Amino acid sequence: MSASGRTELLRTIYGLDPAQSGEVRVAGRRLPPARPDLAIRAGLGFAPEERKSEGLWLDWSLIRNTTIADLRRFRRGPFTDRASERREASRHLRSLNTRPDAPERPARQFSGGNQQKAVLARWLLRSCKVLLLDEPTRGVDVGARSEIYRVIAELAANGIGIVMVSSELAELLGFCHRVLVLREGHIVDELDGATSTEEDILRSAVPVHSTTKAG
Amino acid sequence: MAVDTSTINTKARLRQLPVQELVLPIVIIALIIVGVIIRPGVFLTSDNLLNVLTQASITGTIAIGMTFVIATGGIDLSVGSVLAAASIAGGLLTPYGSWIFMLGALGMALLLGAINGLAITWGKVVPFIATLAMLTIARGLALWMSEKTPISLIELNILQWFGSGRVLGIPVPALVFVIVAIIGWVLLNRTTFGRHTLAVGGNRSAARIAGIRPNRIVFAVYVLTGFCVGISAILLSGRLASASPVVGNLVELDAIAAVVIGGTALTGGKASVTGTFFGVITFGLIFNLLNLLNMPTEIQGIVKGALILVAVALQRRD
Repeated sequence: MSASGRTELLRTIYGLDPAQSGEVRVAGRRLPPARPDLAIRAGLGFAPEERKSEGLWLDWSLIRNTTIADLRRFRRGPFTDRASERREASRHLRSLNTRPDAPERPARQFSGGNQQKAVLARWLLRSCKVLLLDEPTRGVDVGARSEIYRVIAELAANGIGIVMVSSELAELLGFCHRVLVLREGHIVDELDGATSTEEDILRSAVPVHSTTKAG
Repeated sequence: MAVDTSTINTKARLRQLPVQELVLPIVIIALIIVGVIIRPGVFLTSDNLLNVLTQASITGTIAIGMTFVIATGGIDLSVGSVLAAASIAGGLLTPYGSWIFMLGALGMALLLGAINGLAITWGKVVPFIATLAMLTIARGLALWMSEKTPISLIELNILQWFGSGRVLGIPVPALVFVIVAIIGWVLLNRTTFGRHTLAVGGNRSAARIAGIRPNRIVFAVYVLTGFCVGISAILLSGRLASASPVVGNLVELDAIAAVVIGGTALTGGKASVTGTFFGVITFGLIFNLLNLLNMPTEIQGIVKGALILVAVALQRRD
C-alpha cells in the first residue's frame, strides 16, 4: 500500500534517508548510513519512483544518463574516453531493446518505458549486484510494461538480486520469491510469492478493523 | 533506416549546440567591422586588439572559474574582493620575491574560496549570501592588512613580466587567459569532474542517487574559482606593479555577465567555457569601442547592465 513506508525503506537501505534503527549489510559488510556512493560501491543500484525528477537528466542524451554512475570506467589518463563511453552505453541500451535506437537524443524525447530502460542500463553498466526498484512500471504504458518485466526477469536470472516496491499486486506475485507487506513503516507479513494470492496480500496490508467492517 | 537515424542524430546534435557558441563569434565579427568603420586606423591595430585581450584577461581568467560555479547553480559575488585580498597577501610578502608573492596571492585566494565552499556545503548557507558575506570580509581583510595603502611591487621583475611581458609579441596575461580557458574547457567537457559538475547543477537528487557527492563538487568549484582569482591577482598586480586594496570593484559583475552571455544557465546544469571565452571578448570589444568613442564610464555601466538583462531574458526563452 502507498504511504506504508515502502519508498522510505528503499531510500534508507540505499543511504538516501537516515535510519532510525537497524543497519544495512551487503554480503555481510555493513553500509555506513547516508552514503549512496558507498552503497553503490558495495553493489547496490536504485531506480527511484520519481524517474523524471530523481532518476534522469532530461536534457542529457541517453548515453550520458546511462554512464553517469560509472564514468571512472571510461577514464583514459585524466580524460573521459567518449568513444568507448558511447559504445558501452549503446550496447547496454540496445540489449534492453531501447526504442528508438538513437541514444544521442535527449532523455526527454523518450517514452516512460524507454527512460526506465536507460536507468536500468545505468546499473547494468555499473554491474550492480542488488537492484532496488521503486514502482518500476509507473508511467510506463501497458505495451512497454511487459518489456520492463522481461528485463527485470532477465536481470534476476543473471544473478542480480531485485528488491521491488510495487502497487501492482499481480506484478509482485508474478516476480517475487518473497513478498513483504509493510504497514505504517513496519513489516507486518511475509508471503511466498509463488503460492500466495492477491487476497492474501490485501488481508495483511489492510488493518483488521476495516476488514471486519467490510465483512 | 540507417540514413534516417543519422539525419536524426545530426539534427539532435545541432539542437544541442548552444546558440551562443554560434551567435557570439558573429557578434564579435560585427563589432570588429563597426570598430573599423568608426575608428579606422586605430581600432584594427595589433596594439589595440592585444590591449583588448590583455584588459579582458584579468576578468576572463575569473570568468572561467565562475563558469563552473554557475554550472552547479551557484554564484560567487566575492571574486572582486578576493582579488584585492589576494593581491595584498602577496604584496605583504614582497621582500621574499616574485615567486613567494605568487604563492601568497594564490594561497589567500584558495583559502577564501575554500571558506566560501565550506559555508555553502557544510554551513548550508545559500551561495548568494555566503559569497556576499565574503565580498565584505575579503575587502575588509584587504584594507586592514594593507592599512589602506597600496604596496609597491616595483622590485618584483618576474611578477611584472607576468603582468606586462610579452612572448612572441603576445602579452603574457592574454596568453595565461587563453591557457586557463583551454584547461577549463578540457576540465568541463572531457573529465569526470566536469560531468559531475553539470550533473549536480542539472539535477542534484539524481546526482546523489547516481553516487555523486554533491557537496564535494560544490566545494571544489568555489576552490577552483579561488584559484582562478589568485592567477588573476598575479596578472593584475604584475601589470600595475603595485598591490592595491581597492582593486577588483565590481569584477564579479563583469565575470558573471561574460558567463551568462556565453550561454551558461544561471539555474545550473548547462555550461559553456567556449561561450564564456567569447563572452569575455565581446564585452572587451564593446568597452574598447565605447572608450575609442570617448564615452564616459557611466554610459559603459548602463550598457553592461542592459546587456546582462538582455542575455538573461534570452536564456529564459529557451
